[in-house]
Amino acid sequence: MWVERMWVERCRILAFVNLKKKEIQVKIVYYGPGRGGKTTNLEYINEKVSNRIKTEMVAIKTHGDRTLFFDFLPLGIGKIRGYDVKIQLYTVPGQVRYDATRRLVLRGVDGVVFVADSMKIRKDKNMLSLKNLQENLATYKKNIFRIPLVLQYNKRDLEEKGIPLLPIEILEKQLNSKLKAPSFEASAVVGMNVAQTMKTIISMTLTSLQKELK
Amino acid sequence: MAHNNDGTVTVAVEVEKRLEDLFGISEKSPPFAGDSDASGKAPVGKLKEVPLVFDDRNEKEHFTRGKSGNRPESIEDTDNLNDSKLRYLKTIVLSIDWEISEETMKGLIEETDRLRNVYKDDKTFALFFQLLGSVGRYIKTKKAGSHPGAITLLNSIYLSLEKTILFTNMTATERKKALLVQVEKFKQLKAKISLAKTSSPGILKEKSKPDGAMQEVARSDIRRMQPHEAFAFALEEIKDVIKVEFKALRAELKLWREGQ
Amino acid sequence: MKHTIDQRQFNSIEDVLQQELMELGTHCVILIDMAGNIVVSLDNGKMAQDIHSLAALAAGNFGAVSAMAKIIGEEEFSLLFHKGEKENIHFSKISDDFLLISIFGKETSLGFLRLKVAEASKKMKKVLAS
Repeated sequence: MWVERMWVERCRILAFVNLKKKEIQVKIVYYGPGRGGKTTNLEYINEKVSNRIKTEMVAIKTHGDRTLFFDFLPLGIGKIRGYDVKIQLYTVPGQVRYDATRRLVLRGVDGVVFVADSMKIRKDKNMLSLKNLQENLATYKKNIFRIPLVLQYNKRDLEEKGIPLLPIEILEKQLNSKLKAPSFEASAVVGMNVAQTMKTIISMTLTSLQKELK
Repeated sequence: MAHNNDGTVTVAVEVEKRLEDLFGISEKSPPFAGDSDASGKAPVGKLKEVPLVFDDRNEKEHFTRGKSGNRPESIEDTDNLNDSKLRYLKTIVLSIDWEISEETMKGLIEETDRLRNVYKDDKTFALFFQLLGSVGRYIKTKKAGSHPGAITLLNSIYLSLEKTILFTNMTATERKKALLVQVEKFKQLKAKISLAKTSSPGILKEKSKPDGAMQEVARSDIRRMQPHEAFAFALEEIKDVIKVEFKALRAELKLWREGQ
Repeated sequence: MKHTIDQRQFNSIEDVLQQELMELGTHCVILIDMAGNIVVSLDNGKMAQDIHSLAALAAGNFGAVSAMAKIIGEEEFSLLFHKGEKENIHFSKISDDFLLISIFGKETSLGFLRLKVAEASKKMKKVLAS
């Protein structure tokens, strides 16, 4: 069974493959510059699924509603090949000063969603944050070119409000020319492509695990 | 729907279906931005096959440490009390390490008084408890205003007391010597406290000690005495010191009450 | 929530922390806001640590522990303390906006530090309210 092989390979990591309970936990982290929409992604997902499955989002924020430590949303997606698959969605605080905290939250990550801010004024912040992601992954000997990764170009809804946005082509060139990861234009506030982003990263992560063992 | 060679549905498709059920009807998604030909194929079918790098979790805790320090002379190390009469006193002393409150200090004083009575026939032990109680009363009264050395002294007296009680092959002389060491520390602390008081405005002035007590006997004098002489001398010293302390404490309490 | 501290308050807070904690032998004291920003920091000259990261993590840690308290039905915990082999760290909530972090060694008893922290906290609250 593919999951048993996965357990054998990852037997050191017993925390998230529990043979006895037949449970697998997968950690997905939403990364990106501050105020880019990471928390909004999770809030949308939480709102959408809460009437179908029992889940509770934990958010550790500042008084000003900025993420201070992380947001956490556990999702049980039911049985896949006889194993209960539990997805743990995390966000990190985006502000530059919380680098140590971001590193902490990235520990044990299986897949990453990079939420880029489409606003023109945030161009540099996106690139700095992506570089920061690469560096922080490296501290755990993970390679940004190899880890399951999806890019999300968020805040596309602001265009109709007259706020200057970077065209998708520019964002692709700046952020994705080497990575060549799947990407989505999105609007977390209205929910556009939030679910798609999440489905893609979960699929990628689980598929990658499966392929790794073949 | 993608199938494996053996006809089973791929994990990806199964996951996709499960997540669609979770979210209800699939959202209408704009053209996939990740592909230049914008074929509009489902991203799952265009996934890059990325081998996952497994994390090498070595269970090391980087951010909190749970191990307590291995101090050579720590109260935690001496846990061979069994049915010893010190068991309850030890728990109080350990709890003071964590929290100094009215409750814990009152507990200490009551227990030392009780044990002093239990050991009243053995002067060395009785004095140990008296010393411990005296320091306890000081800390209870002063609380945050206590000299930090008082806490250290409290632990030191207790450790020494515990050893003298537990190590039954200690001679009477050795026990007395152990007591003298603590008495000396007590005197040193008292001197430090007096110095601190005279250098800063305080409620109490340094009280003159009762005459007849050999207040400024040099340490070398004690060393020249016979053990029994030294012990008797120390005994007198402790009594004088305790009398002075109580007097000072009473005066302070009186002033405090007047101020209320 | 915005809060401003003027120079006089800043100096008073420094004095309180110096008298109540540094003179006790504490290695380092840091007053931070709940977002992890350092308001006041004092050390014994032997600390080489990156206190800015420490402050951010401390705020996150305290936030996480507070969230845990609520989950188990507690309003808040009365003690948050991490014991190390050489250094220990104690957290104390001064107000809804401020957190005091004390780093100390074996030579300082936790019980006594807590007394001193309570004393310092009382004095700082007066300063911040003035």
